[in-house]
Amino acid sequence: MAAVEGRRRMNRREWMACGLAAAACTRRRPQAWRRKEPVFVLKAESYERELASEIRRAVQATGIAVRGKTVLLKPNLVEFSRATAINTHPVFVAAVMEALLSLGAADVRIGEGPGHRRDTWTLAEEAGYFAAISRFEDRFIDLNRDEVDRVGELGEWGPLWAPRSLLDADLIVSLPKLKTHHWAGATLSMKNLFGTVPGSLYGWPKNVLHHHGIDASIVKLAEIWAPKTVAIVDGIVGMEGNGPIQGKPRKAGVIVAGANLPAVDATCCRLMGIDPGRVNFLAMSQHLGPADAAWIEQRGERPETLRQDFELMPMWAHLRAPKG
Amino acid sequence: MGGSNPGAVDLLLARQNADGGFGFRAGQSSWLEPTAWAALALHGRPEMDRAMAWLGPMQLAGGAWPASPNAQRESWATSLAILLKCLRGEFDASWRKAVAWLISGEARRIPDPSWLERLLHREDAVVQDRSLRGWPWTPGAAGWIEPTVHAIRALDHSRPRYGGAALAEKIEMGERMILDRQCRDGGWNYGNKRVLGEDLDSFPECTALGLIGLCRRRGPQVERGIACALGHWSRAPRGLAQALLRVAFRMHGVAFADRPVEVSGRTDTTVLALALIGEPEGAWRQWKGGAA
Repeated sequence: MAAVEGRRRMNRREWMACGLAAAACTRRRPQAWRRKEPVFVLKAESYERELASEIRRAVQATGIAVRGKTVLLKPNLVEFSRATAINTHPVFVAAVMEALLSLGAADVRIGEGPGHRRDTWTLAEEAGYFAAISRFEDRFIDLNRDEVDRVGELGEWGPLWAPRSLLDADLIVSLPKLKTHHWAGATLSMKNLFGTVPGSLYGWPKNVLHHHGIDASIVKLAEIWAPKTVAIVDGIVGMEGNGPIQGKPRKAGVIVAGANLPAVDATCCRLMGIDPGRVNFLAMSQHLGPADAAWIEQRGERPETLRQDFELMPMWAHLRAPKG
Repeated sequence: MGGSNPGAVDLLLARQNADGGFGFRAGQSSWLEPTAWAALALHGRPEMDRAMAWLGPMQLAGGAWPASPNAQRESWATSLAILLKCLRGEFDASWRKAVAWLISGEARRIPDPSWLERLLHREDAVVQDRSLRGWPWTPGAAGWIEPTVHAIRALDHSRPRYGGAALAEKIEMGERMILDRQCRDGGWNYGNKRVLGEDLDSFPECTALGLIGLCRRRGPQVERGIACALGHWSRAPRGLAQALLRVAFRMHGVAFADRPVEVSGRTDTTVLALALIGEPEGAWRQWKGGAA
């Protein structure tokens, strides 16, 4: 049963998708970066304090432009358990939405395509999204069941389709949870893009991404979306150990923001006591952005002062960054 | 049809597109999966004929159906199209080609751990009988619970007319795969019972699906599955989980405190249709087939 190639002529959105991919390729800078990528680190002790103004400050500090743009927030909504902290906190999502609207975003919507649970709406309700986010029903798009357009190829797995809402958005904001991950080492703004792959075509779980190689798939999706994607990471309470689902909550008390996904993810790794240079998907995505601290302009708090060594599974012990 | 939830019928009928198909939500273009579930929910009504008229010409040369006209890739939901053709008595060349595609479409075998991995680790990263492949979501990928369940039901309905030992063997393999993936709590999730040394919990909707796939089986494992499903039911699931659990209970003749699935204009078409299929007089009987 080989995958069947699409035979239609490309439409406007597909041309747009090709443009995105081409833009990503032209950004290839394997070694030498021309300028440092700014990443803002902010202390945030809890979800109860006023978050929107702080997030607004982070967005402004990293030069992320939102005025007049249609924005799609992509939280990390995976499964729900009262016992741990799996998902991007709904209060955090609401605060980002408020911050971006206050900065002049024309419209802010929220989209996610969970990889395990079929019933996205019920999952969102269980996870508290309806209660925390005003007009959530009107704002939310189930990316697993959106209209789709072809955006590229996934190696031997053939065409890669993506939700049209992502292609239509001017700006995507990846809102991951700060977590370790049992197959990738860490799951951050780039791994969060797995939720952009439509389950209606690829299933629950989106198994082709695993067969293609988790690291390779992370990079592939980042290549497609990075040109119009920024990241704001919920690191107030993260997850350590056997993430992304069965790990333990870890209060890290940080928010991380930036326009360059590898730079943001590398900073998050440093905050978790992980050496980003040892994380495969970061090593493979150097054409998209730097992991090397020398090419990241740290704004706000210094990551080394807020470092907390997240528990790593034995198979990932080699990722631990040396002290000092 | 409609039973305790007549508003659901109107909602579903209002979703039918001019081309006869259904989208996942009102106003969306027609997709295979919601169209198939809606057609099953509307079994025996003229609206089912219209849905089938949309579905028919979409079949790919190799026998499968694509998920959407806009994504020409073989879909796991081909099993649902086969089921519908069986229920309508359409045992034609299109049906035969689709069944042949499904029989040939066994999932990829995940390689066994090397001797070194076995030496270093007490157990495999993912614990399962790798010889029981089941069916994949995407051609060529590994097998998972839901596509395997739908393949079993489609092949079970096709068995009387298709003939051959291969089909019966595939059904047997699929059922054994479901039994092998049963979680420690007795239910099922998407298909991993134990990963990296930790037991994973079941999900209500997947537990229901596991039982639907085993609706022709009896035995201690099935009983454990039913007990787990009743446990899920006691926690008042909603949406897809509730809709599928009702179907599973009825297929297995389990007494349960029924309550209609709450639906609204925002309810996913799949949930809407399954809510109707799980009504006392819903199409769950047809889905199960035989002497339901």
